[in-house]
Amino acid sequence: MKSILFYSFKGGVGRTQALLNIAKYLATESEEKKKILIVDFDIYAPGITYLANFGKDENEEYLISFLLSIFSGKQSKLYTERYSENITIVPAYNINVVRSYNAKLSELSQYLYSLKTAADERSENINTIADIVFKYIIESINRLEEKYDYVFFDARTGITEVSDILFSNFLDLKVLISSFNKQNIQGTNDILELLSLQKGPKHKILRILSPKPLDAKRELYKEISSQANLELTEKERQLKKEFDWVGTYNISYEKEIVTNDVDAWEILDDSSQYRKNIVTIANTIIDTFEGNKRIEDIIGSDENKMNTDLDKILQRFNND
Amino acid sequence: MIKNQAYKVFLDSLGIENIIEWHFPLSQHKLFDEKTNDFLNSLASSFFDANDKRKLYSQIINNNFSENTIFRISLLMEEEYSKVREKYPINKVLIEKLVKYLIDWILVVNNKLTESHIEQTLKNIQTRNQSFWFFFIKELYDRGYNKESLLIISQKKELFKENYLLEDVVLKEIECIRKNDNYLYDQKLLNRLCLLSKDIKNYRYTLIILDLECALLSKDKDRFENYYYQYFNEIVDFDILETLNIFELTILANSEKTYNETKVLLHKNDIELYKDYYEFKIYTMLEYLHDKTWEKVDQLKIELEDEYQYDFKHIK
Repeated sequence: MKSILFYSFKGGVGRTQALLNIAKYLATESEEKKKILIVDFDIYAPGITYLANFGKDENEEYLISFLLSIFSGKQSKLYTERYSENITIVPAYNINVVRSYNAKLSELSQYLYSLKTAADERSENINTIADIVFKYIIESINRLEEKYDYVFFDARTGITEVSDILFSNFLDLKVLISSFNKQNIQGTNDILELLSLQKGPKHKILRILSPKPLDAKRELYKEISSQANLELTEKERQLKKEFDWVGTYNISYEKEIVTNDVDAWEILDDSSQYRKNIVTIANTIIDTFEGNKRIEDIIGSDENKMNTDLDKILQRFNND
Repeated sequence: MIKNQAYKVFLDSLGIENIIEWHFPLSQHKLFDEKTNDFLNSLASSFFDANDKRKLYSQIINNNFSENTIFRISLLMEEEYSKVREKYPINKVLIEKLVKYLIDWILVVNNKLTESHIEQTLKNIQTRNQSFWFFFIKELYDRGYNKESLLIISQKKELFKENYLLEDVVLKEIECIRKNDNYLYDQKLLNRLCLLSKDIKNYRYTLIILDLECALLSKDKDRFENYYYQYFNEIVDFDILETLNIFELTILANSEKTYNETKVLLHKNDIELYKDYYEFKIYTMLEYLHDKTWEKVDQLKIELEDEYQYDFKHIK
């Protein structure tokens, strides 16, 4: 199972939508259908959570309760809810019970300061408490009955304690989404600078610019695109070397996505530029983690065949 | 010409014409029979990544594959051409990947990439597709093959006349020249560099630095100051490192006026807040440079080496 963070420095860039639609493509349309778990880590402004129906029991271990259990040293099991055949979600909390949700957030906040300071130690320490919490979450997901190919974390915006957990070097891929303006790009570049200071395995980064206006004059966005791809100044170029850089991709503006957020993917046809962008990014993710298995199969079967042929020759030689 | 029909159809769909056989990087290619050569040509341009290509190449040159396996891999390669069109439904993304895989192939076969490989590439690939050549230049530049990238730029730049990609090509040309350790002592390169600013419009930082740098190199202080004030409204928005780069040029140009203006900008940008970081060390080093305290400049240059690769080419 590979862990993928979807993060944006500022909101309103279509992050959750991109995450959901990439998940839908991988779960239903990719060559090998993938099993995806989506964890709503945007605990202060959940989005994915609204897709959940929720059980009757208020005491289920939604993400916030689960995190509280970790901090109080109790064993607990993540609450999951099936969204579609191959997509399962972990809601942040039962947001229908808003007073309880608010109380749980307050309860959680007492632990977050120490988490923030722990994450700050990443420039010195390869395994901070924040990383241990992240690893515990992954272990807990691995202990669930259903096995997943990918776990997608929808993260909170800005520099916060909760997003810090997911900035762990042990997370497999960080998808950073920003819109086509300098504020957004600079903020995300600052996050990259902070990430570059952390000790541990190199961060794998896939950068997305979203949403790209359909009638955009290419010239207008040149400088911004180059800045996002960390190639404009010497500082950016040096920063880029600190990462395992998967690439920088655009997502176009799509009216259907803005006006019909949850079900829009299903009504987009092949000519939609937004759809083409999502398909490209989803397949880039697969290609980043999965080599061409069919080559392995062919080479493997050839080696087996060669061994069998060799056995036959040896047998004949012995018989003779 | 290309014998593999699936590959030809694929290239046609991308608007890439006139790619001829790709066997040239194989120094040993004449040792193989025609069938194997055809297979290697297809493998070279296949959408398999460098690891898979390396594995397959080493098996085939050691005659480790049965005919059946070669046939199955050939089929797989053909299938991949139609499959990648579904996986990556954007032509530019596909062309970028195609170029990346072609460059991987040169490295798989030769373990290195030199100007002679690029000369062969230019001879063998005659396409006028601008995206193809743009990504070739970009990919070489990203991998640090600056001389090789410049070689392609010299020959293919004319394709980009009137094209929006022209200034992106020029941007790479500027960076490749600047990466050459001796560019400040090579008059031909300097002339080439200083002619490039006319093609830069949207990359404002690059344009401003280039104009100031060329005025400095021509020892024309008036021109330097004219440029400085012409661009001043943009310079005030530069970040701290960009402003430090301007600061260095004002010092080297012996322009007290612009030095003082830039110093004010650095303080407005809270240079003091960077006290524990390399930005402040660069600032201090540049102040010593201004005061001609060479010993301190050298000392800070050494200290900076570990923290930030500052470009010291102008500061001997």
